[in-house]
Amino acid sequence: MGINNLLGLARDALTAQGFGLDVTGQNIANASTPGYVRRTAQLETRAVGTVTYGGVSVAGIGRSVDRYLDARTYEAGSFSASARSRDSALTQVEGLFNDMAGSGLGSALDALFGSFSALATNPNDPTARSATLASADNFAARIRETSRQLLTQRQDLLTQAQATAAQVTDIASQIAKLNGRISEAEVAGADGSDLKDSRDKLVGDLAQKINIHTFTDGAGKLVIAAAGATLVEGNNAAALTVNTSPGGAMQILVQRANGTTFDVSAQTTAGTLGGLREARETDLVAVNQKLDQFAYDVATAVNTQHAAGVGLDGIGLRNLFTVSGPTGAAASITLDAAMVGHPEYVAAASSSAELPAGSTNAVALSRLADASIATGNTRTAIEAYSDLVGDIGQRKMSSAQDVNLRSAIFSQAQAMRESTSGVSMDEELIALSRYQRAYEAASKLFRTADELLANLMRSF
Amino acid sequence: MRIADTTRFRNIQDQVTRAQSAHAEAARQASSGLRVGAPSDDPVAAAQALRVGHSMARTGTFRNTISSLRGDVELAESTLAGADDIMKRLHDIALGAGSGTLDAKEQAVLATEVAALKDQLVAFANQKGSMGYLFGGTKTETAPFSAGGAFTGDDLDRTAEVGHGVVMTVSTSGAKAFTVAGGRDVFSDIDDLYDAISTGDKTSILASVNQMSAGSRQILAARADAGIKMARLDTADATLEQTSVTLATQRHGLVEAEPAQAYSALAQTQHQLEAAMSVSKSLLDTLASATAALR
Repeated sequence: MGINNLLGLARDALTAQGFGLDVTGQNIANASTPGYVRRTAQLETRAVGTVTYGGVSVAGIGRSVDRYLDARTYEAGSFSASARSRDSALTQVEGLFNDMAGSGLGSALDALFGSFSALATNPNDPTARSATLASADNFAARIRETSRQLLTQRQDLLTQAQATAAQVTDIASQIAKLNGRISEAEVAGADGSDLKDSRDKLVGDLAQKINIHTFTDGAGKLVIAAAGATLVEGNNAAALTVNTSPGGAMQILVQRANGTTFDVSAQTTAGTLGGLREARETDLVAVNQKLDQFAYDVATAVNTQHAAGVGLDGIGLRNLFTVSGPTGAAASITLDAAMVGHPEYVAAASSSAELPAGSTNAVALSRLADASIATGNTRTAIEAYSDLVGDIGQRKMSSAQDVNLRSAIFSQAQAMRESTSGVSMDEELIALSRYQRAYEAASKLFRTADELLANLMRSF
Repeated sequence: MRIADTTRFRNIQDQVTRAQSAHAEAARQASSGLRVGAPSDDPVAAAQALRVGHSMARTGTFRNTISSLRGDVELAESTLAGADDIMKRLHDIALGAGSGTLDAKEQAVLATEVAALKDQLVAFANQKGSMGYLFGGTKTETAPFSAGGAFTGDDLDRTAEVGHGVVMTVSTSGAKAFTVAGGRDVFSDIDDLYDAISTGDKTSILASVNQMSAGSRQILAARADAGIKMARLDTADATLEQTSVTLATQRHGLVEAEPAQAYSALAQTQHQLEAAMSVSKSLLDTLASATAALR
């Protein structure tokens, strides 16, 4: 113990406080770097054997993470992303059925029955007959167009899912590479904090795409399971692909490097992929099915009544629409080919006796508007259509509520995680002052020791 | 809880975004006047509004039907009134011819008048409306009566739907007004009168007096029928008018925004947005001043 030791203490202190300043500087510099986890300078008293010299040494850099909070953030991010992707798909579906904004089938349905009514008033007026054909043609065309748009959207959702799967594969391989570099760094004695920051950010990005579960296996390797199947294990990564089953349903497959594949479609419950899958296989399927049933029911009821009457030529048994189904009815409904260009075939009269101005059948056609012809003969045409629109509205409303709820939970989880891992500028400024003052004091200590030594030298 | 800077910035962003979307929604309601702008705004109300909208369209269709039919029914009624006048004149001629003694010249004059009146009656019976011949049943494209008065039309009804589930006959039967279907063949009775006057057959002339009044009653009955149809159309129209007002009110309640409410919501969300902006500004200032301490 002596002045020499004092110089040693001052040296250690300068180094340690300098290191503190350096770490604080890193934190300030990276305050807005995505994925950056706050570092802390880990200082400890220097012990050499059992003797206490009172020195300080740098033990290393602390990286403030909480695996539990990270996992919660990943999960919340997954659900938030799935809610958003489903909601945006439903926004488009709703747009097809928004009668208040001028789309939708309500006006075409009104026009169809309105044309029957006008026909009943003036059955042998060629204009009324042509108008009936035009309304029927327009009704069929609107349904076909809506069905086509739904089909296009179904295809778009698949394309989006495929693009997302490609991103998942890419992210997984980057994570695997980083895992490799991290273990190399750790073997070399470095702490690899920056690499871990990058990797954890990528894991967060991955969680946005698909529901994941992460854990560290016995050998210390990070394992990531996507929708239940292992996607990344240490420095090995599998690929994620999306294709369709023979029935046209979206299939999500994890493909290992050795060629084995796992179908994880049913387990893909969150992330962008989960949302896309739910929108495509649950929401769109239901909407399509209801639209098909509506088109089929209306066309069939109109056909039956129309066939019961006769055209101006006295011939009956003609259909107004051609439709197949119920499955695929919306895509197939057309004005019957035999009726095209033949307004005189429109069956306004119920028999050839009441030609040309008999309107019994036209009245019966018009009255179908108030008859329970749809959904197993329990609903009128407009009721069935309003049920469809109500169902879409309900789906879109709940998906929008889901987005709000899920993103609030995600926000909260992020805040919790950041309260451990995030940089707080106030705190860093305080730390900066603290290290600065300590550094100044250490300099003073050095000068004092130096002066003491100088005085001592002079006294010789 | 320790608050990281990123948390603060995100909170500010979230709050401003929330206030902005609430403001945008209030602005949409105030500017469009619609509380429900898409099915998801209120699925139950949107579905009901569709049904109400459909009923409104149907009501409109029925009212169009009524207005296009009313003209022809009115024309049928007034034509039959004219036909009845002719029958009354024929009745008077028959009565006059039967009570006195006529010379050959007077007989010829009266016979000519009877023939002219018959022609006029045939013309009335062949009256055309906006949708073809009025009294031919469903045969609206060909004149239902020949010049001699032979009927080529039918006695089938033309019907129309004039209200939810209300189907009524809108044609006036020429068969019942002028042919044996209504009791007597008016034109052949007139022919008989013509023959009786031409030949001076008193017994036949007196028989014709009763036939002419029977014909008149027959035409009057058809005219009354047309009058009843007009009244029914008017009643149906008045009911539909009432219905359309009720439906419009219903629709208003379902999807439209109360202007006062919409504007106050707009003002409120505007204040909220301004508050969120000014709070975020002061928070950002605080962060900035903390950073300024570095200098």
